[in-house]
Amino acid sequence: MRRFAALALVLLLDSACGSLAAGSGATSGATAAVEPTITSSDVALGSAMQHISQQLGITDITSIDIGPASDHLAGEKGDQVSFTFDASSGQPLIKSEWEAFVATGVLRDQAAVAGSTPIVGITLSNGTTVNLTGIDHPKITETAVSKGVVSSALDDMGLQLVSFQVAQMDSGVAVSVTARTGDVAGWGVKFGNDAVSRVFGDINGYEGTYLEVDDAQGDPEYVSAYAARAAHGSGWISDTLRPYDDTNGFGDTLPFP
Amino acid sequence: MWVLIAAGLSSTPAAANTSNFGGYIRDNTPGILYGTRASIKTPTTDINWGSGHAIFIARVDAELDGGGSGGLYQGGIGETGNQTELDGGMAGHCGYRDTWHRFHEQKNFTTSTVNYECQWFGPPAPGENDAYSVVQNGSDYWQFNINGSLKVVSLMNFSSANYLVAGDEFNNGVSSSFARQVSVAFGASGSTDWQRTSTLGGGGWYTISNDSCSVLPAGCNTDGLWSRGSLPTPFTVSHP
Repeated sequence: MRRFAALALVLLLDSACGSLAAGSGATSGATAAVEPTITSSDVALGSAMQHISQQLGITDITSIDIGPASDHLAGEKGDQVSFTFDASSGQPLIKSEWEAFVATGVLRDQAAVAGSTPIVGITLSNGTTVNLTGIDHPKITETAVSKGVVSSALDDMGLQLVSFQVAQMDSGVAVSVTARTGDVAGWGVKFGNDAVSRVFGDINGYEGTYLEVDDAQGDPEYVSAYAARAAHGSGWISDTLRPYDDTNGFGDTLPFP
Repeated sequence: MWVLIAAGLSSTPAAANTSNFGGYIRDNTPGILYGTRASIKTPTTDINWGSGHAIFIARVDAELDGGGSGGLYQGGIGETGNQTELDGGMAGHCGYRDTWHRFHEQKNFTTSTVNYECQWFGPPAPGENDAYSVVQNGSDYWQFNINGSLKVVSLMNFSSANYLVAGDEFNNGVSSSFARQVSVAFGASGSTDWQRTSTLGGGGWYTISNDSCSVLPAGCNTDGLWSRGSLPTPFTVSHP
C-alpha cells in the first residue's frame, strides 16, 4: 500500500487572491509523510488534484501549483500544473516526476470530462515543460493488478520483490514495483530490454507503471516509468548496465564510426 | 579473481545498433549547430507491417555523438507495428501507437548512466504537412516545436549538436536490415525546408544544401535500399 499522510490535508480558501490552497500544517511526527501543498486558482481543479494526489499517495512532491499557462505555454488557453520536488526525501527523482506526469494526465482528462478549465501542460522544477494539449491515448483497461503475477514475472528473471505498490485511481491503477538482483549485469543482458513487458504486459493499459531494479545493496540500477494519459515515458540505467543498452532501442543515436 | 572479472567483461556482448536509417545527415562543418527544422508530410496510409514487430519514425534530429556516447533530441511522426513499444532500449518505454502520431524523444549525452525520455503527441491527419523543429534555446535547454508551437522544453547536458538529421528510421530490435514499404516527404513544396541554425533560439535559418553522408554512410542508407531525393528540400525518403 502506498503511504498516506498521517492527517488529512485541510483545504484553505485564500480570501486575498481567491485561490484554493491546501494547508501543509496538518502533519505530526518527524517521520510522517507529508502531502504536497496544492494551490489553484480554480477550486474544482485544486480539489481534483488533491483527490488524485491522495490516491497516488504522493508524499515526495513539495508543492503542486495549478495556474494559468505562462512562460513557455503562454500561448495555450488553460492551466498548467507546476511541481516542486523534495530532493531530500530519498525517493528517486525520476519516481517523483513519474507521479507528476501520472497525476497531471489524470487531472487533464478529468477536467475535460467535467468541462473545467483545460489542463494544457506540465512544468517540473528543473524547467522541463511538456505541452499536453491534443494528446490521445489507448483506453485504460487495468483496474487491478495481481501481486502474484508480478512476483512470478520477477521470479522468472531471477529478481527478488522488494516493494509492490498499487494506487487505485478512479478509472484504473498505477503500479510501482521495486525488485533486487545480486547480478545486475547478468540480469541486464538477459532481461533488460523486455523487463517492463514481462512484468506489466501492455503499459498502455495502466494509469502508470514504474519498475525499478536495485542491486544487492538497494541502490537503483534500472528505472523505467510510463504515465499513460500524459503519454510520457522516462528511464534511467546505471553505468553498470550502460554497455548493454541500445540493443533494442528506438532512441538509437547515429552509428558513429 | 581479477583475471576472472576481466574475462567476464571481455565476453560481454557489445551493444548493437539495430536501426535501419534512410535520409540525410549534416555535420557541423558550416558552423555550430543549435538546431534544425523541416516540414514532414504524414503519409496517407499506415505502414503494412504484416507480421513485423517494429517501429518507424520520420523526424528531424540533433545529436552529439562520439567516443562511444551519444545524445539526441528529435521529433516528428511515427507509428509502431503489432504493439511494438516506442522505447529507448533498456532505458525507457513509451507504449505503442499503431497509427501515425507525432512524437518526441531525448537522450542526454553521457559517458556513464543513460537518461531517456519519450513523449507521444496527438495524431496528425493523413497527408498533413507540419513543421517540426528542435532548437537549443540557451543554458543547455532544448525545445521541440510543431508548427512553431512549443511542445517540450528539456534540460539536456549538451549545448550544441555535431550532427543534424532529416530522415527515416526502422527498428525491430533485431536487425539493421528490417524495413517495410514507406515514403515520407520532407519540406514539401511551399512548406518549411530542411534547415539549420547557428543562433540560439532558432533565429537565422539556413537551408541545408550539402550532406555529410560520406562520413556516416550507414546513417543515411543503412541497408542500401533507401532512395532519397536530392538536396535541398523538397525531397522524399522512401524504402521499397
